[in-house]
Amino acid sequence: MTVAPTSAIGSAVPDTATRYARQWRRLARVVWLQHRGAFIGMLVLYVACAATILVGEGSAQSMFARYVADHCVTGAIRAACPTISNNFANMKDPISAVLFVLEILPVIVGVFLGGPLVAREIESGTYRFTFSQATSRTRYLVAAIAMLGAFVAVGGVVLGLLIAGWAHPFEVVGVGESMWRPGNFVTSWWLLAGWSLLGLAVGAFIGTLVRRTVPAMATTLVVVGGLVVATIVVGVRQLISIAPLVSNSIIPRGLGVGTIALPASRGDGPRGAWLLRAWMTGSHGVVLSPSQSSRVMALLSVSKGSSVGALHLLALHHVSYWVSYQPASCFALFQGVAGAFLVLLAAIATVITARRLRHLA
Amino acid sequence: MMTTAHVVGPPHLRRLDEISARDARRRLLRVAWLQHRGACLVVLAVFAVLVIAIVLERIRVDGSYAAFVADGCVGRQLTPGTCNTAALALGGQSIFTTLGVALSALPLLVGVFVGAPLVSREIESGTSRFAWTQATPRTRLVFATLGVLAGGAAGMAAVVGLLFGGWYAHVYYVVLAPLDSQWQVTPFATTWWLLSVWTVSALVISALVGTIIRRTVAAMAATAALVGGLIYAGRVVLPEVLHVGASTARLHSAAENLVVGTISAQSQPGWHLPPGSWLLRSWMTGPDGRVLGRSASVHVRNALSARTASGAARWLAVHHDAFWVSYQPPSHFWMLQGAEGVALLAVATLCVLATARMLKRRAAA
Repeated sequence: MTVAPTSAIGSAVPDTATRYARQWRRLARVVWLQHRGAFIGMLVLYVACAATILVGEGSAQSMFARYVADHCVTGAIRAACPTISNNFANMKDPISAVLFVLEILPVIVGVFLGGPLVAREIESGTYRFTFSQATSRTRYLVAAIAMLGAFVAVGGVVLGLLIAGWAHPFEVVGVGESMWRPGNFVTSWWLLAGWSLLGLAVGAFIGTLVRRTVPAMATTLVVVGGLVVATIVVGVRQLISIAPLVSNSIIPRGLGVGTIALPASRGDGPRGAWLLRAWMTGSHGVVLSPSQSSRVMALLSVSKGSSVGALHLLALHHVSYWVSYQPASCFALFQGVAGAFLVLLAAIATVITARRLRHLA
Repeated sequence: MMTTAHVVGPPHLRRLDEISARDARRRLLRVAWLQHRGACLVVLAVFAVLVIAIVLERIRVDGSYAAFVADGCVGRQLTPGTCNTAALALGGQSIFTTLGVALSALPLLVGVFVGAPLVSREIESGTSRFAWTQATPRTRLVFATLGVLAGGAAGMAAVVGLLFGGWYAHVYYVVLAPLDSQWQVTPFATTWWLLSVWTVSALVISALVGTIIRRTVAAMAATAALVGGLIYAGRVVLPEVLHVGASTARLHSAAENLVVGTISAQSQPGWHLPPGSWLLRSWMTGPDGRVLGRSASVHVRNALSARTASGAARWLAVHHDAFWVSYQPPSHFWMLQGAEGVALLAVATLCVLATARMLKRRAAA
């Protein structure tokens, strides 16, 4: 008797999984209808950035092909190499502009997607209707953040991969770009996705705190913008200065003493490494003062000798030139740690937002 | 006689009219303050943060600059040693760049967070139905608010621009003379004059965008794209604008390190140009006064590079070749600033008129 009605109901009423799937599908539709303007606006921004990158990358790659064909990568001395290098240096403005846009992309996501996500519902009073439906407010929030988050994360990954492809020739030619540079470091595919998620989650959290749209957006700008600027100005430098390697075989050609923060150029350090700091030691391993180091540097610049000559001169004066650096092999490790930290922060912000929403009267 | 008496009115009634008009203005300002005190306080906070950042950074930089001056490095070639160390200490600071970017973004922020919601929020929330049916006409209400906000924002932008350009950045112009100059894009766009004009223009443009779009967040996003695009376009176009009214001079020295073609650099002491001139372009002419081609110019440059300054000048005279540059003398700086500012104010005026039209049309609808 008990079995029969259950199976009879089972044929008429969908099972739990189907019911959940249907609910989520409906929820996804609601989120799309509510935020389609934001989706379309962000899509326009992503497409504009991608188109700019692809156009720029096309011309950079064709010039890079000439650079490779002339064996400039291997250090061959050809007349065309300096000309191509100069052309790359003159082409830096567009890539710098796009990199700047990508650096502030998490701020844009936080301000225009995250900030109004909850704040607008509360300010306009529509939350009284939305939050009293069969779908719980937590599920509604999770659905909205998941959909918007997946969208901005995918956009971040695509743009991060594209910009890395564009920046690669500049890095090989050696005109200042490097994956270690703070601006490039935070715009890798992994960190750009992580930052976008964090911007969205922090914006939603601030929206639940402030409860008014424009102030929530302004506060998000200050908080997420401050985080991004602090990371670029201080955070990345502090992170990549953890546990560096040290070498005394790098030639002090064009390098000073103190903080360097430059990519290792051809022949001046391991390929793809990031030079952090330099100092000089005297005959007994004592670190030379800045004025003593400056005198040695002046001596080296006057001698104008070859690399071997410079090392010979240093050895003659019993001076060693030390450089601390991060090898290229550590890049993925730092990226992984930083990205995981950002995703963790985004998850914490989402959980706190859900808790606050549950307690909203 | 009768008509005149009626129009002018008795003195005590005229006095009453003046008092009520003054009272109405005061009330209007009070309404504007009550409605936008949050925005005003935020703009004030941003202003305070910028001023504090500039002052603190200047105090920090003063030490390096004092050492630079004490070592007699002003106007000297920077070589590895004391002068170069001081220059590197200043040049390596990213706070200068960050402050420049923050100041460039100030008009954008004012436009997005103050200008765009000004009308759109009233319309979206429906409070316009009440606010715009009072005794005060809607155009007067909107423009009184806009006027108060624009006046305050322009004043603050002017103070920040004066602190940044005339006081703090001066150190960088002196120490890194070949690299940093008031003619470069960021310093040019952040003078007290252009910063305040850009701020007012951004505010007015964003108010128009808000009136057209009528939804707060969408208006803010559209303003960010539009004003951000305008600021970026201004930066891209500036190097071309600087060619307007440029002076031309023939350099008698070899002008070491100066390439033929487009240049963006400050003049050097030995070139006999007005100090602080900004070089735009250089070219070479042959014996018949015709401009030399690229390969011929490179040939001459190679011939000059092996010679001393006097030897190079002699070589040029013997071969009847000449080296020319086009440049902007420092006396043109404020003329170009004025021209750009007036153009922006004209755009802002058009936006004000368009906003007034839109508001009136909305009333008719």
